[in-house]
Amino acid sequence: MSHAVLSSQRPSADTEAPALEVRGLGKSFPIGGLFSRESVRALHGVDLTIGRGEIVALVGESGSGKSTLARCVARLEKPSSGEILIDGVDVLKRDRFQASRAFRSQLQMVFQDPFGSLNPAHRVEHFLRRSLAIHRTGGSSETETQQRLEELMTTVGLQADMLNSYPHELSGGQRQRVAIARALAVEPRVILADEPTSMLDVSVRIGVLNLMRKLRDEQGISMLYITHDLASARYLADRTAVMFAGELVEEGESLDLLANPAHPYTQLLVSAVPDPARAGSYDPVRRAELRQAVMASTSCAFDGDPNQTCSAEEPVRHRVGDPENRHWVRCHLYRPQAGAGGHALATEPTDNKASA
Amino acid sequence: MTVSQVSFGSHEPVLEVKNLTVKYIGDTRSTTAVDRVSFSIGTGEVFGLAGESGCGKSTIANSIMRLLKDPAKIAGGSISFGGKDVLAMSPEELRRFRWQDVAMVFQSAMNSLNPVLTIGEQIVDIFTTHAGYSRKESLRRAGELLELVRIDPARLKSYPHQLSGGMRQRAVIAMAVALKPSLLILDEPTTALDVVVQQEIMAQIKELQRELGFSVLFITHDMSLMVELSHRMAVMYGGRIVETAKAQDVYATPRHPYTQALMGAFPPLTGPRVSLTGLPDGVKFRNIPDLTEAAPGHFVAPVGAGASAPDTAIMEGAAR
Repeated sequence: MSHAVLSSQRPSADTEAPALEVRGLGKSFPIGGLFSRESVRALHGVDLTIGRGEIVALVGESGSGKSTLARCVARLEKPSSGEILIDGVDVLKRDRFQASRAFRSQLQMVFQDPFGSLNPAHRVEHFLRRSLAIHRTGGSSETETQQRLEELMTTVGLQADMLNSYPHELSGGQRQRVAIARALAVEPRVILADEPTSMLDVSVRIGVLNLMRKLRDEQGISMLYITHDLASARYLADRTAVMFAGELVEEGESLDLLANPAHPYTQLLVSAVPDPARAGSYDPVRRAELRQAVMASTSCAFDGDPNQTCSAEEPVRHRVGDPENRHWVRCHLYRPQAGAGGHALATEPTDNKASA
Repeated sequence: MTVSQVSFGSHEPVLEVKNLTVKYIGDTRSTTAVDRVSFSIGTGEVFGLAGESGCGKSTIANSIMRLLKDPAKIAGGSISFGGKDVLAMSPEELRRFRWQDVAMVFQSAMNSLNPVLTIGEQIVDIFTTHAGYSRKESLRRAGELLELVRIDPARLKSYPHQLSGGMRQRAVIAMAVALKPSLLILDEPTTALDVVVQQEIMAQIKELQRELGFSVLFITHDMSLMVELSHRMAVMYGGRIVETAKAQDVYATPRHPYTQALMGAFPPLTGPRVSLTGLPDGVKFRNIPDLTEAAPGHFVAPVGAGASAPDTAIMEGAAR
């Protein structure tokens, strides 16, 4: 077969260890009563690498497991299996029972709801000062701390005098900037941002995305940007990974991935995004038909069809297009020769599933 | 040129809102939520109302349905539906007006279904209460209605929690069109749903609209979705309409800086990656003037210094 099957050791751009590496991460939640042995598989065999100063977007629908992945990586949830490496060190082995302060100073989270993530009883200064004190990043003197506070505010694009404001005095966009400043105070290597803009008014969303890009450019912070919004993933992230039913099904350089989605699920997601600029005007009826076709041909483990190769064995990663785009897909149906452009969903070959 | 003038015989607007002003009256001060807003919707036309939270778009929808409660008060203007004055309707007229003439699908309406009644009972209730059909006849029609939105009629016996979010939202839309209203108000009908389900719901609405020929007032903050679905649209800011034109015109040449910011808030899915700016935090527009016609059919509120809108013909744009 002409498929280029990627080995599990993917070549990284530099010889240094990546900022964050997730290997074979799995998570199951028990369901049913106390003595029930049933469980639901929320994550399965997730491999994800984020290089230094790289922004990776994780996209998928609600229930696809992207937030579970974030919670596992942030160690708010204990993974059932797998490894989480920061700078090449397995943090699950290092701090076995809970996240250590050292871990927290390497990885910080920015949450979806800036209205819920800031204690309304405290001024902005409190949040930042507390982070600086706990992680000893505020310098040795009060003058240095004060200077650092003002610096943080400037970095996230807020006036220094807002340090004295309470959260309720700030707009949603400003609050999310405070939440980002709080994460920055720790001087982390990696920031996990779980839908950081979905609760903001649309006109200020792009400002927060631009701020995240700026932090990466200026301070080299790596980011995992979790979103259901493909367009913003394309705007912000260097690479995008697509999650479907707890597994990564496709990943690649963002522009290439969204221009040439190979996995039927990615194709479905891309086709569902409203975009007036796209050729061929809105025809929801046609799109709904496409969806049915896609869903019918997505012979994934979750389709429950034992006759499909995917259901019988673990799918493997196939490289898509130019290796430079680091674009791979996990699907037996994918045929690399099918042309470099977007695949017509209806003509997706079905005679090729015995590959690999 | 509206769609009503192109594809349908009737030139009569279904809904006409003129200089609508809604105030929220407080003990010490009052806020103007909707300020001298005028627009009309033709037969079979999809009219979009875009804007962010707090801009007054939902207040307008509630005004049309006469659902405003204290402290909100309609302080001025008129709403006429098919020539009838909505603001002067008696309670009995209103009861007929709601559901039969105008139906509304609320944001996350799928959560507004009664959890202890089956879907079937809730649809039957509409027919028995508003149309006076017998129970048996109502049940038959309820089944047809579910088929219309591609839900198996066997689901009539299901309780809301047994349906997915998308199915529930489709059931709610089916209920809204049950009595064949001539205007359907959709207030952020897909905000709580995923893109793929959103696409299905929008497809459903479009199909129903083609079949039943009703007009739509479509409220959302998602400009891309709005441009795809609407024939004409208006952009609201701070209770005022700042721009209104054919949706394609607004998309191609947004003239008001706020519209431009909203458009810039949605990165494109194709083409090169370009830097977008959105609306800087803290930027506010105040004392928004009446609309003027900047291009044929394209009405924009003039902006002071630094406005990019070329002032061509000055016309009575707001009072269309």
